Amino acid sequence: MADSTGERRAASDADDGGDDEVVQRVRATLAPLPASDPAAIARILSAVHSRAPSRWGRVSRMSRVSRTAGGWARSPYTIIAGSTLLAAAAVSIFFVRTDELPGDATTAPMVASQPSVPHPSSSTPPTPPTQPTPSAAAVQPAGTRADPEAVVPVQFVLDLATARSVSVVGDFNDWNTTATPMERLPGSTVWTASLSVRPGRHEYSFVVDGTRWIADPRAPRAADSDFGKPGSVLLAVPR
Amino acid sequence: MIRVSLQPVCRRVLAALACAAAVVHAAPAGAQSVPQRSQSQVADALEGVGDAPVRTALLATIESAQSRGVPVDPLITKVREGVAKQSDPSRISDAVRQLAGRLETAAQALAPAFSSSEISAGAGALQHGVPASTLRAYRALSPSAPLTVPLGVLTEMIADGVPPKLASTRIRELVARGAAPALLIDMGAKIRSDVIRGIAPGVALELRSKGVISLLGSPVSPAAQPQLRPGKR
Repeated sequence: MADSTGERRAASDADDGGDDEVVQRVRATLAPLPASDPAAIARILSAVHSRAPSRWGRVSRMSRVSRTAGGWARSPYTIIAGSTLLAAAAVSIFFVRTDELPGDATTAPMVASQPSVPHPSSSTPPTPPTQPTPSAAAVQPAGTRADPEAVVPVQFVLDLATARSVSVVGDFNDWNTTATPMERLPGSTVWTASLSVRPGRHEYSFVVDGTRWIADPRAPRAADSDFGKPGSVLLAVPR
Repeated sequence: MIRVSLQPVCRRVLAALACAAAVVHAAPAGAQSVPQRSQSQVADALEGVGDAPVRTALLATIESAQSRGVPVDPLITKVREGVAKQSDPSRISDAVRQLAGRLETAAQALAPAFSSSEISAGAGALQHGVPASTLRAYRALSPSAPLTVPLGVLTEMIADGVPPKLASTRIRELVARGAAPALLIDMGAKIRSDVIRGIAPGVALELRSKGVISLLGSPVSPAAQPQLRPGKR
């Protein structure tokens, strides 16, 4: 049945003058496989059964330590190697899990190549250097994968012509006024800084000329009931 | 000969590894781990507080909180915020003491918490009038996924004027239906826009949450949620 179907396909392709490369590829893909030899299958199964590994061999095989043939699973040295590699794998898994500790800008790769989208709390689109916005916004790149605790790259933008220096401070950098200086884009009045934050709600401010605290004009205001300085809220979306 | 003597050893090694892996992956509720700091680290963080008695009081507050399993990082961040904002030392002390109380309540309500960020988000919600019982209900609904974003969105909604009870109910419903954090944040932003345009906050929430719910399926049972391990950081 399959053979006849394949022949019909081939004949149909020939009728269509199917010399096209794509057609040839399709034809090759759809061509029926040669009939299998039951005797060959029996020989293969017999060979497999004849060298069925021990229980430890199966464990070692599960660990994908080695796939060499010929009694490797029975070798004590292979068992030791398998166990050692299993231990290494377990330790690696442990460290991979515990490595997901508080990230910072240096440990979290900035995904600059990802398209940027406005932060939900802001109506300002991502700010290209050539088109400074009339105000400021914190924007973050969009992503498709949502790791709920992975750090999120965020870009802060402030358009302030009168500033000589601007830094962004917030709970993400321990309110350190010197930790995240913003850079002025050449030939513009736009200041920008990028860093990575954890998903969730963050409060931040801009510090202008080292003394003046201002809120992000385009972001929601933070109600700083503790210290009374103007601030803004950033809701970072997990990537 | 060698094989005979080594196999039991290997079995023990593998059994131990299996147990270790099980412990690492299971990470029970009681194993909540939040970053803790040494006394010298805490003292360093308090250097910016000029008043010595206040510094001593802050150190006591932080150490007491740490001894009760409260994450210390948010407290130190609060101290540094106050110092950076050149606040009065006594004001810093009050803010830290109040935050320590909220963090402890949040940590208990959210146990097992995923991170100090999640506990901080819970403390923020408490500050905006969300009761601890709501945090517990959220955790029961979402035992295997962090609530950092849902609690942050909830806090902002309340800050935008949505009644706390209504906001809590709707966010809880969305969490139960497995709403993604990005969806929640997007909904919060739309509600803010609606409020700015003059729509009553509660009405805006009802409208927007219905729209989001229409995109989601039936409520997800906690067992069916994606498995993430609490107490990672």
